[in-house]
Amino acid sequence: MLEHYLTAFSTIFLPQNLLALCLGGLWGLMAGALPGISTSMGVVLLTPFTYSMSPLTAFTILVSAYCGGITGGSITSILFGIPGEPSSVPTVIEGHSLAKQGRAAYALWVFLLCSIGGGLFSVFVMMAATPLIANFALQFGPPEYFGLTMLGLSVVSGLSGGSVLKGLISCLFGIFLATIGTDGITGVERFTFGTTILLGGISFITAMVGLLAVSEILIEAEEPFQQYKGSVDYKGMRGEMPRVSEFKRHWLILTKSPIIGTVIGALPGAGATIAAFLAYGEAARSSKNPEKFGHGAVDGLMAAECANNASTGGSMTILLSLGIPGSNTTAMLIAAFMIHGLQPGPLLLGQRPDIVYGIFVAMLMANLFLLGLTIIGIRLFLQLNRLPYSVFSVAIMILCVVGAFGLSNNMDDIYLMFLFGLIGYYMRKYSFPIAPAVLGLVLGNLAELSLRRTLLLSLGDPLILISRPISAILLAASIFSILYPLFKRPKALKSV
Amino acid sequence: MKKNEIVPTLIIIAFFGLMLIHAMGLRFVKRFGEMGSGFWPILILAAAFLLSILLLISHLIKFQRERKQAPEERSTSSEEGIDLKNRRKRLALSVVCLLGYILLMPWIGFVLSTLLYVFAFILALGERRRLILAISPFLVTGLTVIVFAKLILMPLPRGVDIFAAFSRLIY
Amino acid sequence: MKRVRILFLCVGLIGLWIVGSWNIASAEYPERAIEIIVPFGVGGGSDTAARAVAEGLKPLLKVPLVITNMPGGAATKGMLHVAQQPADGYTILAVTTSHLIDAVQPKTRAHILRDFDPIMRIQWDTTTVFISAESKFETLKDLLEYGKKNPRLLKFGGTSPGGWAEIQTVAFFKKLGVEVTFVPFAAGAETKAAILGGHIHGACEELAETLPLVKAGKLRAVAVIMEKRHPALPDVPCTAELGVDYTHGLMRAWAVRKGTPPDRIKYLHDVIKKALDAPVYKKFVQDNHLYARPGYLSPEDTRRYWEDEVRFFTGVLKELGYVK
Repeated sequence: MLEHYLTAFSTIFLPQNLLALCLGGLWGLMAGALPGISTSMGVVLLTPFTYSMSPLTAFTILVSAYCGGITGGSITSILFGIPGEPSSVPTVIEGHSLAKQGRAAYALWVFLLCSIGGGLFSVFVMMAATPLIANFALQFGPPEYFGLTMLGLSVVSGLSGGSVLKGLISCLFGIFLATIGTDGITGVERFTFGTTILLGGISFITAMVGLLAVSEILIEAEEPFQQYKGSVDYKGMRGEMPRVSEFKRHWLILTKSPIIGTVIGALPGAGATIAAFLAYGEAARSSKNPEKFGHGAVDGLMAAECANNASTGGSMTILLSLGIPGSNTTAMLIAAFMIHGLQPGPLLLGQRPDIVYGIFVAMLMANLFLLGLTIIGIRLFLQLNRLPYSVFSVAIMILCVVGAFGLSNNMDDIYLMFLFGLIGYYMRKYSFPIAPAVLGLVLGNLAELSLRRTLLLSLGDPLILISRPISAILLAASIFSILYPLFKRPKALKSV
Repeated sequence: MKKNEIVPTLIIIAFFGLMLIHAMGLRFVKRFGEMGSGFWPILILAAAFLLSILLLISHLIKFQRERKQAPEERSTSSEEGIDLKNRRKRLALSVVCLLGYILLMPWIGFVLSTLLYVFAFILALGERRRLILAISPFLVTGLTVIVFAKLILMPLPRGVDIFAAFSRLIY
Repeated sequence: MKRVRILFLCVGLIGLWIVGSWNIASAEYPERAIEIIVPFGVGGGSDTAARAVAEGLKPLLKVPLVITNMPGGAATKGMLHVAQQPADGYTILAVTTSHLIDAVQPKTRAHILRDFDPIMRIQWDTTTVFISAESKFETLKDLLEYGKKNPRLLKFGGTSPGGWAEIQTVAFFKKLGVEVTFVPFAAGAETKAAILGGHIHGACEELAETLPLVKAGKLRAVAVIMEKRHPALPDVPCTAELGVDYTHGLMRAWAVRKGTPPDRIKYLHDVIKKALDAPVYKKFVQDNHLYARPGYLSPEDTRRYWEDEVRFFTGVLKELGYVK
């Protein structure tokens, strides 16, 4: 095994591979930072150029673009408040709040160090324990997925800010939104009211861009023009570097989150989004000052970013060991494998160890390279701040519109985004927390479908949920997580 | 700022109630063993409906208590009234701009509608510097078209008839 | 006012670039970009298939070829979009079997048989019936015996409830006299993970998606749904051997809106046919094991094939209770 790593390291330093690393990373960073081009789209657009490359160079460039896309998405989230992927919603909530308090550079530092740290952690786990994680992931059937979603939803009170009641209503609203469209079990249309606009359901990104970004522009547009000071303020990058003590203080979160990310990233159908939300919710639940969540909590940002990036390694483990893509982007990598005449799967490790270990090493190097690149790139991004406020605002709005359009190249998503912008505006005005709604939207569909799949498997017997060990543990943990705040802060329920 | 929260809560209750009634009327399809397409939405909506009624009750209690305690506080000064009016005006303007933009886009194409929107929206935000008003629509539209329509070939709406012909000149 | 000057310079440069690339109109048919609407998301089976054909087609066309993904509403949103474009041969729809199933009970105003003219059928895929390699069943016969004794206890997964995956699974087993429980999943990856983890018994899916796992010994193919054995799996019996008259497979075709001038359809047909011989596409066919039976069908035959399939799906969906 060791000699494979040594060969892989020596090949990655070949000039063409280093060049691939740089170009792929830059491209991914750009694609991720622009709303409207998802990370998978970025990888797709790059794939045709790799036809003529040697397999390892091709994968270096694709993997590097994959990692870059995830990093780039978070930059847009923090600076402009537009979530590029559903998994970056916690980053928008906490990171953008920090940016609005004039701590954009600080938020970027935290995000960078945590996401690179999470990414590296998962790469190391992937190097050491690919078969182990893949086998563990296979233990997850529909009952376990249901337990997982319940655990995810149970953190809602931690995300509710002041009023738990409002948080719950907001979360239920999100779960309701997730039921719109085609029912995944019977195929009938629900709540589409005979229109085509709702036929495919509500995509996460449309709703999130509306609820988070558009509503914020509307809120800001209300303020008198003269009083506006700039939406993102910043001090120098250097002065804002987080101190080591801050990471020390949050060591527990910094260990938990990458583990959550790696394991959940390996589950097909769950992936980065649920990983980020679970880690974020867990941070909110265990935090000493939960009232800061939603208003720029650093620990929340740390947890979400660690888990988000750690999930890349998780989804690669199951891709490489079983040939099953854990996420959209890894599905794209399968196509790239095929182009080069390789079949991802258990045989690949035996047949082409140079490729598999090469990919591991490329991911490692891509993460390191991106650290350097982003530190330089952030300065450029921060320059955008010098734009007049009006132009800045309108540019973000247009990015939202184009981003919503790009999801399925259709006007329908723009109209829905507008509607959610208004809903988000009123939710903010009447202090309904938005994070629980997003949580419900992300997990609602999976929760319903996995519960119904479970019952299909057991022919209607609900006891299957507690007779299987993992699902029983997950459900018990979620009940604990719901009840815990009641003992810890009995006041929380009373204050409405 | 104090807000009257009773009206929005009523709207929420009405929304969940209407959806609940609609959900009850859904074509109830199920497979053997599971609980069918209607069960989960009804469960969720019923819970949301009950919780929002609970919210209304708690607001009403609070409202009563506050009215007893300090009835004179509720009168708003005229200065606040003007501020509120201005806020509403600015909000309405920006919403109307955005709505007009997305409704016009499929008809006159992305380029023209964006040019108009950028100009209208920065005007609505209160921008009065002539230079910015003159340049930024072209700058923002140009950059967006280059990045999204030219580089990554996103099929942004081109409009109909003559507008489509115009859009094709550009992308 | 240095800043102002830079701003003006930017505007000027952008203007120059845009004006410089004005398309000069020519009279002959493909005078501007041809757009292919793939009604599925990036990276899926239909998307990669369309991109492979497009890769071969690009060098043969003088105009650009753009692939646009328009996912949503079980492939009907993209179809509706094409049905609303002018019938000028510049917008092509990538049709799959799901559109034929939609034709039984259309979700939108668009109807594949009424509103579209096929250019050609491009691919005709083969379905395999597979189970986990650790399963207690060895052959299809074991599976059927168990299934006949225990109705509904055989659990088969797949995507798209009421769509292609369910129809092929349930209709196939019904022909063999077995009632299976169909467990819908959101994606092929989830189905396979559920099979490998032992949560469901098996699934019916396109061959190329499962072959690597079959070769790796993780999955076991027990039958291919075809009139002869598949060269990639020579040891696996086909349905004809099992005495079942059932050979349906996933189809992919390209079509334009009805009313497109026949000479344009002919132009497209001829040029796409040529593209199917391009090495890029040949390699795609090889990689995805689509060579077992001919994919190409002429426009007239494609229409006849579509009509037959829609009739078949109407029957199956009626039996399953989706259509009254």
